[in-house]
Amino acid sequence: MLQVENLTKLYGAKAAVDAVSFQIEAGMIVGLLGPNGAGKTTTLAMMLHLVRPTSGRVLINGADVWQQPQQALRSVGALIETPALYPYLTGAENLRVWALHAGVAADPAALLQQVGLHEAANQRVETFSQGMKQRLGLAQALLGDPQLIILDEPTVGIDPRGVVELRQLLHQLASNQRTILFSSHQLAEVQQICDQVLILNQGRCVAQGAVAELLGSGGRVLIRIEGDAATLERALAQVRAWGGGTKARLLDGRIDALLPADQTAALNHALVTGGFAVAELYSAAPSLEDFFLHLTAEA
Amino acid sequence: MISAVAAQWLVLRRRPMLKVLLAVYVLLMALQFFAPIGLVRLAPQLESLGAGNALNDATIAALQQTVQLPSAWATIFGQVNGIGGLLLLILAASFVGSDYQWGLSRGLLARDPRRGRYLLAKLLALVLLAGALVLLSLPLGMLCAWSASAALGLPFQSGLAVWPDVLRGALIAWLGLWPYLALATMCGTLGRSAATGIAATLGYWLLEIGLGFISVFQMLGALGQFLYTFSLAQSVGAWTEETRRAFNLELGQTFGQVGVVFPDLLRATLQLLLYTVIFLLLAWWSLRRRDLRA
Repeated sequence: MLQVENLTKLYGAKAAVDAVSFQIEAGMIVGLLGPNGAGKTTTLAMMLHLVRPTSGRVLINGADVWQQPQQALRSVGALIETPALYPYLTGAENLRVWALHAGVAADPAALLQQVGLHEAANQRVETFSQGMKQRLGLAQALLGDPQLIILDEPTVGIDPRGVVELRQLLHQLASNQRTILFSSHQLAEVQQICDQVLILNQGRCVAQGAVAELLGSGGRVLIRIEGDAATLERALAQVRAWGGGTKARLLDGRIDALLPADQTAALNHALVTGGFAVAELYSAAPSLEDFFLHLTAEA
Repeated sequence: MISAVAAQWLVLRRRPMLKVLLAVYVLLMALQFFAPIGLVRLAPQLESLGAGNALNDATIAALQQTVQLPSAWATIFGQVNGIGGLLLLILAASFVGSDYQWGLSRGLLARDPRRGRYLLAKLLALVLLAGALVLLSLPLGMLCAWSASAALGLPFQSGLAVWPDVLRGALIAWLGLWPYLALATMCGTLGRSAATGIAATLGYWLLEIGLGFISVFQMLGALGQFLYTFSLAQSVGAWTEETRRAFNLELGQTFGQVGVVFPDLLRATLQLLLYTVIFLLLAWWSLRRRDLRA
């Protein structure tokens, strides 16, 4: 469905996106994660023919977005950053403008019903709350029943009930073989909704795969070491060096580490023989948030 | 393409700025016709106050001619290309520039990436609006002319007997707006915001007006005067002067100006085509080359 190959965007010498590659199959919900400035929006904009890549390519249903843009984007709906709306038009009129521009058949009333805005159909957008604008942006993305839906921060400004409705809507779309790629800072939300996640940091793709797979690859261990701050720093360095690529950070005066579940005892032994007084060591269930914070803190 | 134009037309006709500018246009059109009434009525009082023959009979006759149909058609079309053109420039630059400002061009072009089609749809919507402005000006101008003529005690003239000249004048007025719409489209695209687009467009317009002003007083010199005939203003002016001539209201005859030089009609036409093409190519090049970021 979507194939991204070595996608790179340079601004001068700085790489906003650095050789990012991934592939998404039809019917999947994929979360694109990363801290601010990680290159998420630039990556999405390159997929949508808005920002020209320095190198690499994006294929949608086999068509290159930058060689055959019309063919590639024919079945793509998108909401990029804040929803772009004509403030002096009503919600229904905004959808009509989008449908006319894209040359797709649309039923604004049905779409507004789908995103829970039917009662505000004839209300000017300038009177909408941020959450209502976000819902209308989502309705724009769904115009023409696209096969691939790209959403950048779709839950921003939406109340908790709206987020639950959005989750249901995305699941319903995916069950109808629609493919969804969305970026978000709501990690708990992503964990609940997505089949797969991609994590970008400083322009690079640092992890990708099924959420269960990524979390299953390591257990979370919290370690309390007796001693001063310098001792704690040295212990942290030893944990990071231990076992090659163990992810660890300091959290509330303790070491918070992700490592293979069967290695907990070995790590304890290594720390004790290294001269550290391990006062406490216990396992905790990892979450996507833990995984994300470990990954992006180290880079 | 038709649906893309329909989308832009919907956006354009609902724009609040359109209503404001339209009200200003109607007001200024009325003022153009009703101001001479005051001047003509004031003339005897000025004379009695010892201001001499401030407004001589020839000037009064010329003023009356500008408000009485059929010669008032030239005044109407002058308003279309003058004030109407200026207000359209402001609207057009804002119409194109605000799409960038509000992220709308990014959103729309993510749905349909054909940037040339998007730009052309915007321009065609503006061209349609210019046509609507010309059509609106006909009954509005007639109403003003009839009212002003009646107020001055001039005999009623419907002005409809010369309808072929009116149609030709309307067509010239409409076509004369096209290059300016292309200019505003270019400025809005290059400026990427309503304010920058309007400022750049008005800057160009004021430069031409300024040159025109000093040209009238023959301050440009022979070479400067000749070079000025290559300007957009003088190219459009060559055609609008034809309209004035058709209604016996050409600039030189009415105001005794001798400094205005226009290119011949063939050169004016070629220049207008060239300006329009250059403006549109620059707009298209800019839109095609640049990234659409927030």
